[in-house]
Amino acid sequence: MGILELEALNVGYGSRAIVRELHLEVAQGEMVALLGPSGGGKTSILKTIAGLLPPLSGTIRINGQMVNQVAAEKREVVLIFQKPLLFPFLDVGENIGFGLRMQGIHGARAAREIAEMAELTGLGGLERRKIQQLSGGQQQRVALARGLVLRPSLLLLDEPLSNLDPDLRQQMRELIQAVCRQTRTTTLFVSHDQSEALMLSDRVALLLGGSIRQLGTPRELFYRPADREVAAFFGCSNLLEGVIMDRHFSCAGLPLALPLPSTQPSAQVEGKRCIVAIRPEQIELAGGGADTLTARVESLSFEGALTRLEVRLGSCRLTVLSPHPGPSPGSDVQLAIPASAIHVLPCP
Amino acid sequence: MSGRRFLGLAILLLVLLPFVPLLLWSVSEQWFYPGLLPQKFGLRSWSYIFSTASSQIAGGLVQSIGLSGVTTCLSLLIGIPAGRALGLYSFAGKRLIALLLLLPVIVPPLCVSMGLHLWFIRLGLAETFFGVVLVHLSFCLPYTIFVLWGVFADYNPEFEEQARCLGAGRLQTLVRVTLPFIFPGLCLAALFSFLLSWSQYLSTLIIGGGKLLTLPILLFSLMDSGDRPVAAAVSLLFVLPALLVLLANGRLLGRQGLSGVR
Repeated sequence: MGILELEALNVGYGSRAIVRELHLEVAQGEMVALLGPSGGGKTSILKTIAGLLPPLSGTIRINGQMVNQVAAEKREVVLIFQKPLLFPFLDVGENIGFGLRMQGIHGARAAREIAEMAELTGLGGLERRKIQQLSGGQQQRVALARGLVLRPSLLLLDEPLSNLDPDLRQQMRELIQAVCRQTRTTTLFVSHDQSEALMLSDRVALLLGGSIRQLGTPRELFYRPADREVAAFFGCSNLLEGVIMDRHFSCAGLPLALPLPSTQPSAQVEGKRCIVAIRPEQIELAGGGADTLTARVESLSFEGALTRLEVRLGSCRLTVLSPHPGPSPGSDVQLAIPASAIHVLPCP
Repeated sequence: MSGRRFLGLAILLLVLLPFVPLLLWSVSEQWFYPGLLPQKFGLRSWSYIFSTASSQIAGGLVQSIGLSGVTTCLSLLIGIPAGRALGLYSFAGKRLIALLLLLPVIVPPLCVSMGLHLWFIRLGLAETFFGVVLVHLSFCLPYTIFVLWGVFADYNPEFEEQARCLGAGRLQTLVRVTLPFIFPGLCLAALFSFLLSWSQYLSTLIIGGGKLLTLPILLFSLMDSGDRPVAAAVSLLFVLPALLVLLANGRLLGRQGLSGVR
């Protein structure tokens, strides 16, 4: 059972606020990601919620109780740091059972819970191993087990995957998701890696410049960014400024007006100047036809699954991510921009 | 014989060789030049220690252990927070503090003791147990702080934050997390402190004013009296506790701190 509410929380050191006026609610069993560039104060937010750093102002509520004055060890909040921070003088089982021991739980009951959690995190049979004998991935799993065995109201994860190799990262990601869902643990985690945040979480809060810029489901943030910086953070570099007339977007450099998607309510945007975001991978390279646009390839870089093309269309420059590695620089390509690819940013 | 065993033997010989004459002196009753060995063996000196002067020697032993023990505890009690502050935080005047800490080590103990004596008389600390503890501390504390400074420079306080998140209170965090981490360094600091205080003669004599009869004070007076066999026996007795502390420490460190990763 765990509900977290943050109200007007200011986080920082001394008198200097790094994060200002933070409002966030995390529901029971929900998994929310705090996404943002490194050095944006994400870890400080977690430390403040965990009680390791006093908030400058604002309220932290857990299960409806204000916990601002509650000591870290009494908050039932477990923060798992970026590094596993396992105690080297304890073995795997003792590390997992550390928190139980602090609560005075010993003997058969502790042993049973440790064994259960070790099994759940894929560490069964390793309880008597020394920490130094574990691989990086196993150490991270011990850290996770050590936190979850306490059945915390709230689990806070600080970049849980960033120290791992790519394939371990995938395994660990699935493990965290499975274990947190199974134990119905409310989780708030911090990441600078957008794919990590989008994959793991039910909702994402994007933290830019010390405040939450957008809060929503992963799909909302990715396909319906609130402003140009959110769009840019998710790699959407095609931002065109123009006017909306008669449910069509036209822009000075663009030879053709683009129809808006049917999901776009027209009332607020009709006749106004706005910015339109088009995700680069939603622009298609077509064979030619009525609604296609001819563009010239200026440069091209092969990135594996997709090829990044910088194209010039009239006086506009667009980035296209295409699965076809075919075109060469200087050649002309036909682009199709489906209506569903067009997202009108809310007008200021 | 392999090189490693040869080296071990050589080190052992170097350590033990000085004790051979002491041992011989302590069991001799007549030993005149040019005899390589004593002309007459006997246990006169040992019986002197264990029966004739046993109460005096035992008193000195208790006094020495008490003094060194209290000094060690106090120097750890002050040294741990000081070392932690110096190792973990950066603040103005850190270099100055390092210099000031080295001063008692650089300045000859005679000067320190003579200078402090005057003050201690005024403060009523001269010829008291606590006064002697204080002057011993002035020599022990720099070593303790330097050792623990090094320990805390390699210490990650995030482990404590992690422990608190896992439900450990402040005291539990100290006992279950901080102490195990710094234990090897703590042993080393305690060893330095104990041995340094154990072997103090001049400062004990000056500040204690002859009221505190520690083992070194007794030893010097016995050497003065020219009874070599007894002085040798007391010397051996004097080395024994120090040797025990050293061995215990070696065992503890061997188990934890010195077992490197590579």
